[in-house]
Amino acid sequence: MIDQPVPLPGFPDLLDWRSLNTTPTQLAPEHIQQAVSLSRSIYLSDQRWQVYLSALGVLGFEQWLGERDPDLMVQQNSQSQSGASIWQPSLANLLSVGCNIQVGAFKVCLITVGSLLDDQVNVPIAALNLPDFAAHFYVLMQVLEEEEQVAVTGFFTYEHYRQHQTSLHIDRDWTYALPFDWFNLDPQALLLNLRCLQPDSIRLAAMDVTQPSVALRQKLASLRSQFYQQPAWEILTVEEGMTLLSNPDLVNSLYVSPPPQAINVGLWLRNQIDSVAQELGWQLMPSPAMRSLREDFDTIRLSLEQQGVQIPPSARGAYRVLRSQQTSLRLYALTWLLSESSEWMLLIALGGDLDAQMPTSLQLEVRDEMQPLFAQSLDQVDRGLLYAQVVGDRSEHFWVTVTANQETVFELPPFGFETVS
Amino acid sequence: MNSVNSVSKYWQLVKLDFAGKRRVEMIISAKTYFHQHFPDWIEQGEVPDAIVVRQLWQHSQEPNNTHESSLAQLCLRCYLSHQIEQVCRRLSATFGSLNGFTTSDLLCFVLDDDGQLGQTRDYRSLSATILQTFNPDKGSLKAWVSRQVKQHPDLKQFLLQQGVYLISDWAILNDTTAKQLRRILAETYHFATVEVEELGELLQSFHAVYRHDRLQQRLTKVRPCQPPTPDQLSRISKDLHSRTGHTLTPEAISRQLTTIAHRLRSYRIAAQGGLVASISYDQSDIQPMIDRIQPDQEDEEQIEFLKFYQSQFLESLDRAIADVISRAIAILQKKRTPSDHLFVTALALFHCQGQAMGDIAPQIGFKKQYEVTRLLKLNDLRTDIRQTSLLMLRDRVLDRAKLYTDVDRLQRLDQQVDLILNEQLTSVIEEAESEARSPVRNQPLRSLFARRLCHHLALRKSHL
Repeated sequence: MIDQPVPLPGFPDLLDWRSLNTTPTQLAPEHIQQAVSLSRSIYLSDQRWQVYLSALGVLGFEQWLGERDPDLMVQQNSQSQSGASIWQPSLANLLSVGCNIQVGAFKVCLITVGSLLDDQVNVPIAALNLPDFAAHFYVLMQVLEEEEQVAVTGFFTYEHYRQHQTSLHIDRDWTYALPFDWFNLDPQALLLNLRCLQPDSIRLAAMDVTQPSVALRQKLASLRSQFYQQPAWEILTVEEGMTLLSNPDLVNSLYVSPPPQAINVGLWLRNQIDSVAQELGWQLMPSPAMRSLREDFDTIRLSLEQQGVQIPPSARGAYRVLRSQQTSLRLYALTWLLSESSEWMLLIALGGDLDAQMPTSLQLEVRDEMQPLFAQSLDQVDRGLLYAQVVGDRSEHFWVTVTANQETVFELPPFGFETVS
Repeated sequence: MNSVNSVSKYWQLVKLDFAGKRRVEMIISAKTYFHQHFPDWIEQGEVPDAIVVRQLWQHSQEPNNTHESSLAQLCLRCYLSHQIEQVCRRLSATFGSLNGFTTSDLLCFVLDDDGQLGQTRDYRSLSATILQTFNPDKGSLKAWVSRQVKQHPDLKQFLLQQGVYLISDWAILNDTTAKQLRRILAETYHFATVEVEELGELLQSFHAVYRHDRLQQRLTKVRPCQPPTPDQLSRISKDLHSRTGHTLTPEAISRQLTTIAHRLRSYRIAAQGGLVASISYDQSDIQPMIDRIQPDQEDEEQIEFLKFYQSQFLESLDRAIADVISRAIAILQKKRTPSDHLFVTALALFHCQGQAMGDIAPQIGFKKQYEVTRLLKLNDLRTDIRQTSLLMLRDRVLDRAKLYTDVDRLQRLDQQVDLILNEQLTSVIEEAESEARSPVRNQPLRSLFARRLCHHLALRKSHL
């Protein structure tokens, strides 16, 4: 019975108590669904869970506020969502807290945790230092995910941060570890401030926003696929990170939303094709071994055999057309399993499209999650064949980029063998 | 003396009578059975529970002699009732006073054995469930009882509303980041760097699988956080191997995860010192007399302000009461079973007639005191009225008072207003209206707050 929980030796008392300082607020089913739905736009799994919790925290906070005082409106957009930064999927890939929640005259930022484990709370420095995200009140929310409830736990003001700023140091992951005693643990006091405090009592420091340098832009472009596998703080410096976060356009182009899904070539071996590939115009090539009607591929096959590349009978493939204004070409992708191991082969080849003008020069690049694997150019297309072969295990993905005439860049969604959609 | 250590717990059943009060009932047939089968233990003051329980358990499982096995079971059920009560006592001792509940509040959820020999098919008591699901190879009955009581859904829900929450190992593991774990293992437990790294990686692999599945589950059917299934453990193992090259068997993974959880739990208990639970007014029957403390220099400012704007303050207070009460009533009216009239009645009984929550309950058709507490939410109500009146006052005063521009001074103003509203004697704010002092016979609550509230409630009534 594969789904039965594993019995543990003895009954260690698995349960423990936690005391909240306030009655928790119940979340509605649609809140949960909203949060789950948002989480699908997040590339990295650790970030995904944190964003999910933060979304629950934001929704719960709004619920709590609405129950206590409808006059303390949280401004919402047409999708009944507050301006909270968490609802911007691209940004949420970088910033897991809920900033820019407007409550009356005040900006609120929500820091959400699962359970209060610690005597410190980690807060992204961006939420405190960048003008786009800084808030008058920073509110700590606990999420009881199992129970679908949230609890407003405490808060501190921007003023307090300003007074204690110099005692903090920045962690590798672009966060501050704030001591727990920063937080006023009385949610009623938060309400008092939101209701009665004069709006200009807390002043947010005017901070400079840095413009992204050319170097940074280039760095982001060339390392782009790494951002889908590693957290940004492992790739950029703090300064670069803060510059990135100050630039919504850069963020949006980096974390395309929704994340492009991989093309599952494993399906091709079963003569199937997934919807992602279909929508992109991929066509399965008929089997067996594509010997039959595709004359254009036959030429390629011959060239490959001349170069010592044998395509086994078990191979399956598909092709799609890449079109630009002046030219078009075909990209062929073939795959087969390597017999001894469970690794798979991806063979990419470029060829002409029927009756179309092929580009005069081509460049083909293949990379995996971590680094480039293959790059080759062909300046005179009719003089040779541009192809690439890479081997991967089941968890790996490959990104293919084709550049035509040194000006048109085709960036393809990744190829994977067995992908979880 | 019904001490839990005495042997009589095997034939004395702790139960609740019809009024919900705790009683101990001696079950003769159980006593006779016990004397017959364990004559040696009768003499001793203390009994080795583990041995007795095991023997009773074996007797209760015998298929052939059903009458005898029922009696053995009855003895166990008596024992269980004591254990159940103990768990509830411990809970209320730890959290009851802070979070507003007593042992008897908890017992009504879990002490449901009627002591009859043959259990009817329709209703199975918690004790019967505990015995049915108990496996002596896995641990002691005592531990099993503790777990079942704490996991009882109605009890859990009740506690949750009082702000007391049960967290499982898996939820703790889910909630803790690898970064936190590494820090705690290194700094508090002084684990070697290699071990810290390894356990950090393990937690990450756990997260990759467990959290992913949890989000998937949310789309279809959701369950509480359960221990990982064999399939999940195997996937965790694969993830760990693909990322670090290390291999751990699923069983080793399960063991190590549990160890991590226990370390985290101990750490959490030790680090709890920072958490301060605020004391709620709700459980007190009579509003506590708040003594007039000597105002410090700093509070002079607040008091002066309130004195100066006295009439505006009283107007604001009355407006705030009207607004907040109307809003509360509107919300209660919209519920599936509207309870707004119960709300108003209970409010009046408490503030205008000085009745205790326990006495109010039956008058509005509630059984338990905490149901009244939950309906009224007095702490929140008072806070909302107080803060709303402060806001209205701010908008009325001609020069924007400096007190509203500073977080600390605003806090002190709020505290000062709280004092004034709760005072039993006439104070800083003298009331102008004399009709507020309506002659009602039983009026221990004569605070300003209560008087203005009752005035409002009377007005509401006369306008209906």
